Amino acid sequence: MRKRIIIILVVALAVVSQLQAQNMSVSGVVTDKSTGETLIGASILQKGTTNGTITNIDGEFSISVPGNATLVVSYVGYLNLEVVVNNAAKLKIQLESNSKSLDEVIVVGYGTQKAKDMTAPISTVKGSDLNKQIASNPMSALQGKMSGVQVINNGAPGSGPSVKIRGVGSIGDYANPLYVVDGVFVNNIDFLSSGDIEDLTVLKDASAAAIYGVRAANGVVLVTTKKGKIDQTNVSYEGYFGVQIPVNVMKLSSKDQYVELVNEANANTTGYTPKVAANYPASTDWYAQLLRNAIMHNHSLDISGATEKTSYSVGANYFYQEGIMNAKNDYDRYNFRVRLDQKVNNWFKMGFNSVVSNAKKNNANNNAFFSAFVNPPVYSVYDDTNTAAYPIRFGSPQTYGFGNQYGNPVAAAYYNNSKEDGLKLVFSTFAEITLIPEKLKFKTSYNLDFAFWKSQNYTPEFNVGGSQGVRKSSLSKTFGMSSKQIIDNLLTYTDQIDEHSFNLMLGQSTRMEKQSWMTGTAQDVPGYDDQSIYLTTSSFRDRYSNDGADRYNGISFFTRGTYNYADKYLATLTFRADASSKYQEKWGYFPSVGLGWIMTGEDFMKDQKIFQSLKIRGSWGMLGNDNVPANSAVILGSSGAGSSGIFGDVLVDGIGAQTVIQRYLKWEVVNEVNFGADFTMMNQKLKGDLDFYNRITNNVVFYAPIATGGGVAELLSNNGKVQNQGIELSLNWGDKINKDFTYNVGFNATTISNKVLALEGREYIPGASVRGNYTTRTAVGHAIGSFYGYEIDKVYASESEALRDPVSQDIKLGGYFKYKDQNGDNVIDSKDKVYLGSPIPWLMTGIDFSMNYKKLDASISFQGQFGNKVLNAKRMNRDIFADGNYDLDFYNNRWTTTNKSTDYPSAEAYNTSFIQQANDFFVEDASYIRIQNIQVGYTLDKIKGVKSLRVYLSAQRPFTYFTYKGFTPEVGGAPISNGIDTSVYPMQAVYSVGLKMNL
Amino acid sequence: MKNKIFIALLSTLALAGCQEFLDIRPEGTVPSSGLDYSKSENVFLPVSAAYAKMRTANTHSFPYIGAFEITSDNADKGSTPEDNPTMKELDDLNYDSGNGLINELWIGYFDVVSGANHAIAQMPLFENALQNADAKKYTRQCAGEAKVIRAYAYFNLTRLFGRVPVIDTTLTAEELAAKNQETTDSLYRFIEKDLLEAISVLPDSYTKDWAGRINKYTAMAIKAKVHLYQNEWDSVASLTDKIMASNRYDLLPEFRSVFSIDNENSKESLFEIQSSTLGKSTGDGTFLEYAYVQGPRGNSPGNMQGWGFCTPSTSLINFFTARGETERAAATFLYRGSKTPEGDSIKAACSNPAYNGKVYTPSQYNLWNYNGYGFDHNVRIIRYSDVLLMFAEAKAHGAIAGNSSGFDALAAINKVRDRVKLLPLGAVTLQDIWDERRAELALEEDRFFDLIRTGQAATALAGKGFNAAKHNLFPIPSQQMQLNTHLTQNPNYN
Repeated sequence: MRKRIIIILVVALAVVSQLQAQNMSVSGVVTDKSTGETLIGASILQKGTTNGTITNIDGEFSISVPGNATLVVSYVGYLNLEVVVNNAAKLKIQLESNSKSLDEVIVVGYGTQKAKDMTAPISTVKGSDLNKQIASNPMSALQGKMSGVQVINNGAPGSGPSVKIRGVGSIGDYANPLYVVDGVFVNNIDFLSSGDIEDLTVLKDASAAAIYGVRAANGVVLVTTKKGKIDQTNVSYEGYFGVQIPVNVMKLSSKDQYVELVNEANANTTGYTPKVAANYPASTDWYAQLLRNAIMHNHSLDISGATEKTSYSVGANYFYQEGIMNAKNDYDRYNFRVRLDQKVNNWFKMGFNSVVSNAKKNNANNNAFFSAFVNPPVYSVYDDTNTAAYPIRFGSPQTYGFGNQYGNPVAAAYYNNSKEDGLKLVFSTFAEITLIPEKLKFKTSYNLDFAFWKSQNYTPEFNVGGSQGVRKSSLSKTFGMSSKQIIDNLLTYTDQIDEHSFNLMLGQSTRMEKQSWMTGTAQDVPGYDDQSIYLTTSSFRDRYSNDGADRYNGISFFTRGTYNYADKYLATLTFRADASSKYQEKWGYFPSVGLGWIMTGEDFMKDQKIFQSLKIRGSWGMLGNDNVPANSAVILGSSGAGSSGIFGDVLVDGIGAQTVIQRYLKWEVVNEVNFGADFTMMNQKLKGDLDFYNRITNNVVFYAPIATGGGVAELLSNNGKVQNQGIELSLNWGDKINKDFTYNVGFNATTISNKVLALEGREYIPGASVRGNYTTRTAVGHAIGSFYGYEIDKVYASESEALRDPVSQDIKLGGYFKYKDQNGDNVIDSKDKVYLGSPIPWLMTGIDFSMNYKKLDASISFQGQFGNKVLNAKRMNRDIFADGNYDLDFYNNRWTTTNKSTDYPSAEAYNTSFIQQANDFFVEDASYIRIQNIQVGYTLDKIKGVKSLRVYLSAQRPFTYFTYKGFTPEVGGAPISNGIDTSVYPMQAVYSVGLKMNL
Repeated sequence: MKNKIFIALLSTLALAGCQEFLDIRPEGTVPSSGLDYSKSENVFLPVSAAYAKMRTANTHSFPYIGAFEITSDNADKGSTPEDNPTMKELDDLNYDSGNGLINELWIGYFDVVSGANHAIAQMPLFENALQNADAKKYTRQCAGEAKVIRAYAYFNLTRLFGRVPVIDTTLTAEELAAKNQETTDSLYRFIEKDLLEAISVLPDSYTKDWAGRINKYTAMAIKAKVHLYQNEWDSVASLTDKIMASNRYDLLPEFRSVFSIDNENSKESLFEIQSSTLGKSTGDGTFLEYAYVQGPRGNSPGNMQGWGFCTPSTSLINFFTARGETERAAATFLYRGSKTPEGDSIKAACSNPAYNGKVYTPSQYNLWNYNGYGFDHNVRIIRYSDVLLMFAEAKAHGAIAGNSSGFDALAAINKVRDRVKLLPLGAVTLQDIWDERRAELALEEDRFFDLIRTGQAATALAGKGFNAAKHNLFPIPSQQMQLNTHLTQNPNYN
């Protein structure tokens, strides 16, 4: 799906002064050339004058002009048409839809480009489309809307999604795209509201992204905030109010079921006393206790306008989301945005843009969700007989003999008091000098991303039982500040000689990033009220402080040339040289080439009727990634308590260091090839893009485990080569049945095939240690972070069946898995482990339907991902939580002597480390298909003083289908330990009512 | 607009200072080579860091009690039957190379080796930079301490795994991943060399504020034990004799008090791992959970309870009863439903009948905020009674060296017995000494390897299916075999 901004330039220059002529009355009708529908409100202007009118509800107009006048007819979304009156009293004017997009202008790095000149696949989505989704931030709203972009959402209030463009190229946790907001590099756009955005463009291939070579390896997301438009003063309000309801809530075993399972599991444990359900006071569904319905609402106000010289846009937004965890858990954010552009004279232009965003968050204790999973369901949330508990009489698992690894989940959520408060300023200002009119320009800009944040964790004095409790209240506070500054200087030359049009840009950029923080901790802090929670009020004895900082610098030079011959042959060349302080190899060089051929511009295509437009594109380029941790060339000393010995009960300062040499870090570089085509067919009703991409990331940077003996478990290094390849397809069908009914269907699909090609002499990198055993491998020939373990052949029906089996394994009993003897040596050992799939989907897709009937509009969108796996690690904790609870699915399906399951183990087997390891019982399919949004709206336009008013009802994520035995298959994580579900925040559906009003 | 030009100029200027602009060491750090080597007060910094590496969960806490004691006939896993299957595997001698606790020991002791290697490598830099002869001498002494630390780590690695790589310097990650294992023999040669060099440079003692620091006699005691494990009786006798003849060490009069917080680093102590909350109730981890994980499970209040692991076995209790042990039994066993002389109740509702009494820490010492128990309890590695019993064993084996202290085997063992009010023996057999070791050092992480060393394991651990061909060594952890493919597995493990 491709959405575009359309900038219509109405050029109405009259140079010929007309001879005085007799005016005559001209009337006519304006229609759509392809559909014949009349166009209401089209503008008719006598060329060179201010004499004009607009068409009425039937598309008709009437105007008095001289008989030889020229009329300029324009309508939003259509190409302008000039019509010579030629003394005709009646005119039939047909406008051609602008969907051929000849004049569409797309924001690309350091400038704009006409869509027709593009040699790269670029996807753009309008802020107004993002705003249709009920989501806390724009990237969440993008889920399923764009090919090549994977968005993994998280249900916690205010938490940003994990975004991957064209697969996972980086292995460290740095595979995130670069976000550029009006020229400012930012790490994410969680601080923006969809309402702040004019449009959002994703640069996917090397030809487009290489201009951001320094950090483009994982794709670039360009965000343009709202701008004023000429001659349109716009005041609008948009808002919604919604209720969030937890969906796909997991069911756990009840008290009776739990007791049955634990007794079953320990029937053969020596010394085990069977539990009796009657000894326990309650049957508690911990998830039900932890979850609630919650509200969210959003309000945006925008004012914008422009004259020939000045354009302005001012916006304000407020967003609030309550968490669905039944505890202090919410997010609120307000944004203010101001943009001003001024043409000082015909050679000098300047402007600035700023966004101020303030966000406050009360974090949930996500661990409570895990705790709810494992806690025995046998005691109640509150227990008046638990006199040791204070200030609230929570029930304690220790009262019933459970170990200290268990704690009341509701109490864990309740006593968590963690908040964050952040203020962010994104500011950019520029000055542009035209050196040769229309041709040579110099632009310099200063871009700043400044953030200040504060986080606070306060634990009051409390006790529940066991080790759940503290005898002194404690406080930890962190203040942090970061500033990222970029100074860009650009020289742009544009010219056209005959049929050769070209554009050349030279640029230089300097980056300075610094972040620093300070943390203080204290104990015995009176929790009287918020005013009393300070380090100052604490006990002096246990007060500590700490600080830290990061600093990076970079310098870049870059150039881009674009060339268009006769609107047929296109070329884009870029080259970028970047130096980064993070690498020992300072300079990286990133060239790219993009070529395009507009086939429909050729004579031999003139007569065909299949394509209205067809462009074939190809590109190659290299992209760098400096979004990696800075590597120190030298070994650093480590100090503090962990490096200081104790003598005579006194800590004696020490400074230690690792005894393994740091590695020389080279640039992580992506090498990407893209082939694609853009086309329009069926009288412009069908539009589509098809792309094939192949990107290879070389010198992948990440912390990889190293052999023991150097004092550290892992080192940052260049560790190999990763390939992502796939196909992206976007199709859009839009049609107008009659003047009352239009509809649109959009479809996008992306395939990803991810494969590690080399690992610098290593066979694999282990990842995702669950209880001391690695569960994933990043290995040559397999996807990054593939799950690795035993394939299950079957479950032994009985011991005698097991004993007859010639294949030996550690435990052979009924109810135990029989692992598959992969190498056929009749012994199950680590040689029989195999790859069990990866957390990277091979297909992501989205479908949108929308329709308008008169003033009614309706839409539904679907999205899904297929083929990826998730590790159900919540189930993999039974070595520590051996007498913990079970999910209901396990209760219903487990192997028992009377119900011999073929894929579930017995309760006894389930507790053993033989079963509790990566195998395809725990590695589950994470495919899902979801109704992302259903919306019905009605537009009222007959209200006095209001241009238009739309009210709508929306359901966000009302239904998701998946087979995974957890809350949600959307589980993020660092690439080599991705898709590990331990305590994922559940997902929620949002039902809301909204309003959009233009004054 | 002038501003803009100014900024443009600035960024051009920035280019001029390009190298400086782009070479940034991470903020808030000091390069490891950035010490001021000319200052004598800095000499101890890297050595202190090496000591700190021994104060870790991996080396002297949960995995430690598991592999060194719970495996033996002295202790059971403890806690509730279903709790912690990984530890249960150790108790049942039913572990394989995937056992996480065994892996933690490997990592922990190799981290100690790394810390010691760093300190050893730093000392010559100080020696070169310092002018004063005493200061130069002090750098050699400090190197000696670090060598003892390294030798101790390798001694445990060797006992655990038999064959491990020798790492004695800074390497690249590739070199680490390509290290081959050394034989047990050559590991012992490496350990002895470190200890020998250390003994020649270490002082006899330190001032009181350095309590717990390694001196010459610590090195000798460790070396004696290293020889003990190789049946080199003259070396054992000679070293232990020197310690005894020094008159710097003695048994405390009362056995139970040896394990109190107040008697840490006493004259009975040759080597202890220091654990302390430093009198605070929060902050960075300066303590071990060694005592905590063995504390009474399900007891109350919160600061009088632990995880309840490593509980005395019936075999151990019966052994004490049969010997008529009273003093040592009172110190070694902490029964539920009892009240300690210090006034703490061990509630009848606790999960296990008895707990390790040697880690008992009265509530007045447990002041940590988060329900901590025994965080200030040091881990006793070598006590003077161990020295006496090593001497006795060497002499009983016919060692001719080591006669300056005036002790013989009988005198040495009777000194140990006398303190705990047992009648002196009239004659001494090897079995007497081994049994004395069991009674004296029970639940002090000596037993499992003592059984293997003395060949008693096959009978003592018959019930657990002990097979010397397999269980004399632990498996090389599978994770380590993945990280270094040059490692080969020990016999009879997959």
